[in-house]
Order: sequence, then C-alpha cells, then structure tokens
Amino acid sequence: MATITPASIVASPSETTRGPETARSLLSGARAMLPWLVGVVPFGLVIGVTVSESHVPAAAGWATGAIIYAGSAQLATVDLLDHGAAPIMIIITALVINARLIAYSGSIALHWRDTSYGFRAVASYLLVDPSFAVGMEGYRDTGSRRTRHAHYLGAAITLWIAWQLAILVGVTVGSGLPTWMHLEHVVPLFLVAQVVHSANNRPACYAAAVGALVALVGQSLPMHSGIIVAIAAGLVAAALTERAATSERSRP
Amino acid sequence: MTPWIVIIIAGTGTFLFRISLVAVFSGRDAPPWLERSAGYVVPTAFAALAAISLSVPAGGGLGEAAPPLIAAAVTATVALRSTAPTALAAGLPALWISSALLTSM
Repeated sequence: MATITPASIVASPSETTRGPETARSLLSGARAMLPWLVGVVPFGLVIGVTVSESHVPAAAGWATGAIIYAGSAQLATVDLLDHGAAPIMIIITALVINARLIAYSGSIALHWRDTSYGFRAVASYLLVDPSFAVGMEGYRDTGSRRTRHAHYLGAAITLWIAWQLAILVGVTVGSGLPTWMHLEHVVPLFLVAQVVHSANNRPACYAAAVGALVALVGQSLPMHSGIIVAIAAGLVAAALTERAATSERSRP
Repeated sequence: MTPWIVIIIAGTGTFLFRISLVAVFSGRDAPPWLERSAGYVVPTAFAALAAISLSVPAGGGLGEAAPPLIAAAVTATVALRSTAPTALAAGLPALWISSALLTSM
C-alpha cells in the first residue's frame, strides 16, 4: 500500500509509476524472448560443441559469442579458423554473412530516433535476428516509448545472457551432445515458424518466397553473399507486389 | 595472426553494421521506401536463412535432403494454427523420425 507523501501528491502520476512501468516492460520483453530461446539455445550448444571439437582455443571460440554475437557468422568463423583460412577471408566472410544486420539497423532505426546515444549503442550491440524480431513486434504495440524501449532491452539482454551460457555449456560438454537430435536444424525450423507468423499479407508472402528461392540459388555465390542478395530481392518483390495492388485498386 | 585478432576485427565490423543506419537516421527522417520495407525484412531474411540451412549440398541423396524439408513442411503447417514453440515441437519429431527412416544406418 503506497503511503501518501507530499512528494507523491505533487508529482504527476507518470513520474511516480515510471520505475515499476519500466520494470514491467523489461520483464515483458524477457518473456517475449523465451519462445525464441527454445530455438536459439540449441544453436548456441552446437556452436560450443563445434568450438570444442576444433583447433580453435576454447576461450576464443566462446568469446565469439560476445564479440561477434551472431550465430551463423560465429560458426563460419570457427570453421574457417579451424581450416586455417587466410584471416582476411575469414573477416570478409563473417562480415558478408552479417550484412543483413544493416537491414535490421535500418528497420529498427525508425523506432530509436528519440533515444539517447547510450541506448542506441547498447541496443545496437544487442541487435540480432531474435532481438530484431521481438523488438519490431513490440514497437508495433501501443504504449509509451519508454516502455517499448524497455521491452526491447529486456528481450535483448535475456537473449544475450542465454547465448553466452549456451555456448559455454556446449564448449564444456563437448561432443557429449547427441547428434541424432540434429540440433543444427532447430534454428531453421524455428525460423520457418516465424516466417509463417510474420507473412501476414501478400507482399510479405512474396517477400518470403522470393527470399528463400534467391537464397537457395545464390548458395553458389562466393562468401555467403547470397543472403544479402536474397533479402534485397525479397524486399523488391514486396515493393512490386504492393505497387501492383495499388494500381489494381485505382483502376475503374 | 591469432584467432583473437580475427574475431575482434570481425566483431568490430559487425557492430558497425548494427549501428550504421541507426546512426544515420538518428536526426533525420528515413526515406519512405525504408519505412515501407521495414515490415518485410523479417519474413524475407528469415526465409532466406531457413532455406539455406535446410538445404543440403548437391550430391547428398534423397535420404539426406528429405528429412529437413519434411520437418519444415510439418513446422510450417502447425505454425499456421499455433505458436512457434508448438510448431517446433511438431517439427522436431518429424525430423528425427524421417531421418531415422530415410538415412542408412
């Protein structure tokens, strides 16, 4: 039961409820991330196991989780380090795989325009596929800006912690994990479910279909550049679908 | 060059990617095409990533290629009517069973 003090009478309701509101939003963000952890933790375990079975020092392999913080690029980096590829090749490969983060940056930037430099730096560092997805969903809901930013941070921090732990467990347990479970397929299956949920209209469906097709065809492109090409193609497909729909509607 | 240096350079570049457009669009308005495209990045990017992960290199037999596709079909179908973890809970057994049946011992 809140006690009535002179300060609480004078202060506006938003000032006195700001703290608990923010805390609630942090928690709601963390909760929103939990389903993702089902897919993400196995991926982290797989990366940890890959590190333990490679010639890469365990500490460096685990540190990719915090320094690079993007699973597919981490896996490629560990793999290429293990095979003794030239450093410049490894760096370029990791960066090309992670080029999609520029697209994520552009999309979520729209929601971060009123935030501080500090928030933007931390929030950007934490930006990766699951935090991007949960963040974009959260920003679609109504609510004060502060609570939505807190929602993103709650989700993103939860992901970060779980990721570091998952890789750590994978590194220490090593090949003790069962291979028959095909844990490496958990993430793509999770992505499939997310695509189904997010493709709510026709342009989105075309974006997904074109993205998948171009990605498959583009697998022969050097250094995994097929991903960013596929994303560009999908966005173009969505734009064309939108344009076709509006021109249909404007016809008498 | 030690692994650490490679990792740190890759990580620094990755962080610059992450903050790139956030920094560019901090003060000004984003171009309209970006605002329109923002909602399509998730279905496109995730479909592309999933497609690559679920495909197998050429030369693998049907037994290797089919189980991920079967699992993906099951997952997608279940996802139409329920949450992502539920869809995953349906897709994983499909993956394990089809793998056990189709790949040679």
